[in-house]
Formats: sequence, structure tokens, C-alpha cells
Amino acid sequence: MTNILDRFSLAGKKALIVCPENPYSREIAQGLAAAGAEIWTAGNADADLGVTVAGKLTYTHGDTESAANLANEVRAKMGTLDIVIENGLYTPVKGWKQTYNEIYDQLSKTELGLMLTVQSLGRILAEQGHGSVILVADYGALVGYDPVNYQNCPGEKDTDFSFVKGFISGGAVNYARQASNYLAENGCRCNAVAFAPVEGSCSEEFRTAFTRHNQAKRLAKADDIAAAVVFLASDASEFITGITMPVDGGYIAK
Amino acid sequence: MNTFDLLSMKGKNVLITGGRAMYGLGATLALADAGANIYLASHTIESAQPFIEELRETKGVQAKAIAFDLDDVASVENLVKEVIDDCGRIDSFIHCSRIIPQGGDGIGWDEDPIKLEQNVRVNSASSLYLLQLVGEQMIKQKSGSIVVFGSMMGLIGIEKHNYDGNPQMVPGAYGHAYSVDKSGLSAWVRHAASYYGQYGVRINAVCPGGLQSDRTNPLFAEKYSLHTQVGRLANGDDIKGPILLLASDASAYLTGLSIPVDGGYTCI
Repeated sequence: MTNILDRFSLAGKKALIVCPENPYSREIAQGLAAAGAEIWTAGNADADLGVTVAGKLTYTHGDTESAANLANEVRAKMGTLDIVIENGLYTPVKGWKQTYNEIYDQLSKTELGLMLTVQSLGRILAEQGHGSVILVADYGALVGYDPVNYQNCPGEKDTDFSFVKGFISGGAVNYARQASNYLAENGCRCNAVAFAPVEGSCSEEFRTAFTRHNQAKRLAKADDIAAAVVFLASDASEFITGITMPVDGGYIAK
Repeated sequence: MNTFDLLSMKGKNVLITGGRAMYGLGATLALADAGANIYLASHTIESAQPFIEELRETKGVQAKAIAFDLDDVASVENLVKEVIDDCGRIDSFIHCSRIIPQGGDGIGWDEDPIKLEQNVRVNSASSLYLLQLVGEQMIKQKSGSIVVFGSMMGLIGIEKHNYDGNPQMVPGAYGHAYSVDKSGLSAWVRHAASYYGQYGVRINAVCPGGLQSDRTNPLFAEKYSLHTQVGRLANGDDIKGPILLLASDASAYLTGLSIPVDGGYTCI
């Protein structure tokens, strides 16, 4: 049996973080880098990930042409691709009442972008015969957002509790299973993570309400996010595919 | 209260999309059996008229067709307006309609990005917009039950060996959009239930599996059935009970559910 710690190592592997400007990217990047991976990003916005970035690819999540170009860019600039962090599901749209155009705009940037990214980069991984795709979602993928958590922070409800949010997060759950089928036949894996908010990312009022409902009685630490992603990216999870892993201190367990 | 009275839809106005074919047909017939006033969203009023007449004559219910195109935002808005103008309220809404992109669903990992966009634009975005409009009406009423059609394929990935001997079916089963849309819908039902609950509005999903039809490939049916616990595909009656339960007051304490109606396919 190999040393189990060696199986967590990402030394020599190349990771591409899609939409690095979105929440959780910084924690993920630092975790992957600490485990030895070379970090690349694909997006349009600048992001301070706190790690050395080997290269930045231009990418518009949800744009068909850009998705096709992304595969070419990866082949030309990265050469090989081991880890895909699909982090384009974050949507900042406010409130419950939305117009059709607002709904479509958000879904095309997120849901469509998810499919186009995984389709495009999945081809590269399948050709190589190895690779791990990780879809980044939040806890709303597995349970409804609780309106009671926002009773003392109505402003946050306007930003967090948006109409399309559950739909977008939840789309990752079965897509991980569906995409995993094709990818596994080609030696690759696809999993999703459903994160709780990270300490410092929300108000004290929300933190109090949220942690009342989870078993660990705290929000996520940066290390919690990093460790989960390193596990799913590495050979330590070689036999795990198609799952959505809650990283929420037991929020959905109660 | 008598259980049959809880299941009764007499005097209740039900709006249903996709209610003339496949699972939607079973849903409409179940609601008509229970006495509901049926508003049937249909591509054209003319094409729906024989079915409307049949509902009136055989079930003794009020029934009306309204022209509807899920791929047209104005039509989506008009659908809700027409029902409200006609009867003032929507007690239950059954959303079964979706478009099938030209050339069919799926078509493998390389599913045309044009189809992916179509799915997002119509099956996801337009459906959510319609659900929002109906939800707003039910909030005004402070009551209502919404039932959406999810799918077994929103709960699990495909079982490729169901297609052994039928390689031509495999590309249709693979694909991206259907699983993302139906998976999102099941999660959204939980999210929406947590919002609508305070207004007395409930929302649930049924997630059916494969339906036997005269076009079902026999070899596929045989292999698929082995994965169900009841040993067969669904028939036209199987959806009726779950739909009537969720649409009626018999499920007054159920909300946020995605109920698999799949003969036990997803339980193993």
C-alpha cells in the first residue's frame, strides 16, 4: 500500500480555476497550491488568490465561442490539464421578483456556463485519460435556504435569497453524476462540493442564525474548503465520482 | 375530514401545461376525475378542442384551452393573465411542458451548444419565470399548490447498460442539459418552498421514470425494468395518484418534496 499522504499530493499537477473572482476561489487556490499543484485561472476579472498563478486564460462563462476557445487555449498554453475547478455558479442577483431577462441572464452565465465548461474541458481530460473535475456549489444545492436565517439581516436576504439561486446550485448535484458517467469511462472523475459560507463572508446576525442550525456551530474555515477540494482533486479520492460532498459542519445532517 | 373530500378538486381551478400527452395526459385526467376546472395550456386552441370536449363530456368538468408557447415570454405572461381574467384564481398549477430541441434531447457529450442554450432559455428560464408569475398570484390568494415535473434523470445519472443492444439510443441518453435542468428544479422546489411557505403556498415535484408507450424499444424496456423494484416501466395511470395527492388538500402538510415516481428505480 502506498503512503496515504502521498495520495493527497498534487505535485506536478496543473489545476485550472474557472471564474477565480467568485467566492471560495481563494481558499481553493491556496489549498491546491499548498498540495503542490500549479495554478492557472480562466476568467475575465482580476482575482487576488494569494498564490503564484502560472497563467491566466481569458474566458467568459456562458459564452459558447469562449468555451470552444478555452479548450484551444488550455492545449496551447497549459499542455496538460489535471484538475478543473468549475466555480462559475455564483450569482449576485438580488431578490425574489425578477424579470424574464434577469432570470435568463443569470442562468446563461451560470447553468449554461457550467455545461459549456465541463463539455469543453472534459474532452481534454477524456483524451488524456485522467483528470478530476470539481463543481463548486453552496449548501443550497442540497437543502433550501432557510428564510429564518435572514430574519435579523434582511439586507443579506436580498442578496443571498435570490429567485434563481437554489436552481443554479442544485443543478450541480445531478450534473456531477451525469457528467461522471462519460468521464469515468475515460478514466476521469467529476464531483461537486456544497460549501457553507466562510467565516468573514457574512454578517454576525447571519452567522449566529446559520450556526444555530449546524452541528459544528461555526462557519467554514479556509482550511475546510481547501482540504475538501484537495481531497477530491487528488488520488486520495480516486474511487469517488459523481458525488456532491457537503462541507457545512453538519448543516444538512440535522 | 373524509379523506376523499381532501382529495376532491371540485370547484378548484387548475392550470396545467403539457397536459395532453405522456405524463401530462395522466395528470389532466386525474385532476378531471377529481372534479377540477381545467385550464389547459396548449400550442393551439384548435388542436386541444377535441380533448377539451372529451373532458367535458366524459368527466363532467369545466375545461378550457388557452394558447401557450413556453418559448414566448409574452405568451407565458398571457397564460396567467387569461386564467385570472376568466376565473380570478389558480388553486393548483401543474407544469409539465418543456420543449425538445430540434434533433432531440441529449446526443452525447458533444450535445450541440445551440441546444444547451435553447434548454436554458426555454426549459429553465421560461419555466422559472412562469412559476414566478403563478407564485405571485398564489401569494395574493394566500393559498395554492404548485406541482412541477422533475425527472428521475434529475436524481441519478444514466445507467448505460440499459442501452446494451441498442447503441443508437446511447447518444440520446448522454447529454448535459436535461440532467442540469431537472436537478436544478428539484433543488429549486426546496428553495421555493422555503419562500412560499409563509404565504400559504406549497410547491412540490414529481420525478417520474420511463413511461411505456407504443414507441418503447422492447429490449430497452426489458433491461430498464430490471432496475425497477416493480419490474416494469410506468403506465399512464402511475402518475395520477401522486399528482392528485400533491395538487389537492390531501397534501396540505407536504412542501419542498421531489417524489420519485419510478417503480423504485432510484432506491437502489
